[in-house]
Amino acid sequence: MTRSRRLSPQTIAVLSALAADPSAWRHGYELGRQVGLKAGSLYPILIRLCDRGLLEATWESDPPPGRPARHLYRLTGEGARVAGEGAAEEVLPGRSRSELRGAW
Amino acid sequence: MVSRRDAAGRLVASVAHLLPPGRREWGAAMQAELEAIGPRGERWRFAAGCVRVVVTRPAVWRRTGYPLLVLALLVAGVHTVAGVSYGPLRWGLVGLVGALLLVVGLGRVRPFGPVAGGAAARGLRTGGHLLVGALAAEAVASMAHKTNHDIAGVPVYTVMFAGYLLGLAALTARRSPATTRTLIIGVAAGGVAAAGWTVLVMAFPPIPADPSAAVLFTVAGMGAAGWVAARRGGGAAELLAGACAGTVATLLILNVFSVLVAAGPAWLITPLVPHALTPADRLAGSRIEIHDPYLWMLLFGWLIAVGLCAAVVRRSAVDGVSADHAGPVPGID
Repeated sequence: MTRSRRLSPQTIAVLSALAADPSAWRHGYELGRQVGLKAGSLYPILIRLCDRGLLEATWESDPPPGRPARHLYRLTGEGARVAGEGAAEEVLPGRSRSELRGAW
Repeated sequence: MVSRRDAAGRLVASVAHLLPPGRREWGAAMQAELEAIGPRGERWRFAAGCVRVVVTRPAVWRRTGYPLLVLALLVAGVHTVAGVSYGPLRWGLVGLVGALLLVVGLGRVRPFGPVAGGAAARGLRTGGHLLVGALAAEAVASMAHKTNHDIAGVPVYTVMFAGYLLGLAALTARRSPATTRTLIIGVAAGGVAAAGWTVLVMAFPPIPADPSAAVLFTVAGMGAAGWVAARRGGGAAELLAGACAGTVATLLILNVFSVLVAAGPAWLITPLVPHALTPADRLAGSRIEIHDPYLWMLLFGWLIAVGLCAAVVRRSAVDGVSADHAGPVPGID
């Protein structure tokens, strides 16, 4: 049996922000400010989206001197599809709640 | 990584260490992000959010809660026995508490750990530890209030409770051959057996002065668990489910017994001190004396738990190669 889970409004906001320019790499602080989420809410969402394969992450390749490389995020093809199909109506197929909890 | 190392940076760096190994990259991401934020107030708000992310993760609670709980129990145990005036008894009780906590710590390393990933294994291990802990706390408190210099109970209780803990740890370890179904059958049968004994005692008081009925209910629970488990699981499942049921039933019955004897009404207590001066003295004395025969119940369950431990460890060693290759479960450690 496949269980589904409705996306939260915060997750939808993150997906929508990333979908505005799917090819662009974004860093967390900037993304959080854009969608009005603090780090305590944003990072669990980013982690879950990465775990589900909707988001890919990489490290900044050429940071300015004196500042460490930041983590950057953008939608995967599947993430772009989910965001593009209308995130507000989207119900994600896949992992159960217990699996998602177990990821941590 | 170049770090600004103000208080906010140190805070995030500290809590990032609490993340499980598979999630450390996210801790590094938060630290790097913080380094790019300039305004002091904004840095603190971001750091507070990062702390919230880390400390609200169940995996972090499991990782840090375990040693903190052990430390708290050690402090509580030492505090309880600090007032014991007889030195050998005081240090013996400290040794008992320390030894049991050491055994609990063994539950993190092979062949007793780490605990398997399912809710059944985690629940059984946690519940079993609580039941053993309650009995151990009662035993320590009882011995701490003794007025004589008898310390024979210290090594006996240490070995007994350690046996239960090891049996439960082996049964619920990741390398244990017990399946979730086996554990559920064992816990259910043990729970029903203990409930049956409790109903019998309440319906036909007082609490019997010998543990025969408790043993009979436990054996019945073991048989039922073995029978149910064998229908689809074969001989190993039958043995494990039966032993699991026996261990669970014994621990539940002894805990119910302790509560009823300590706090139950007078009509539940068999008069065992007929020559006491007053009815109140007779009742108080009987509440103490009725514990002695039930030490046989403790021994009976200990034999089951130790047998269970030996069977699981031997089976785990046989299956060890394939289990080793299974690798760690993300987020479980």
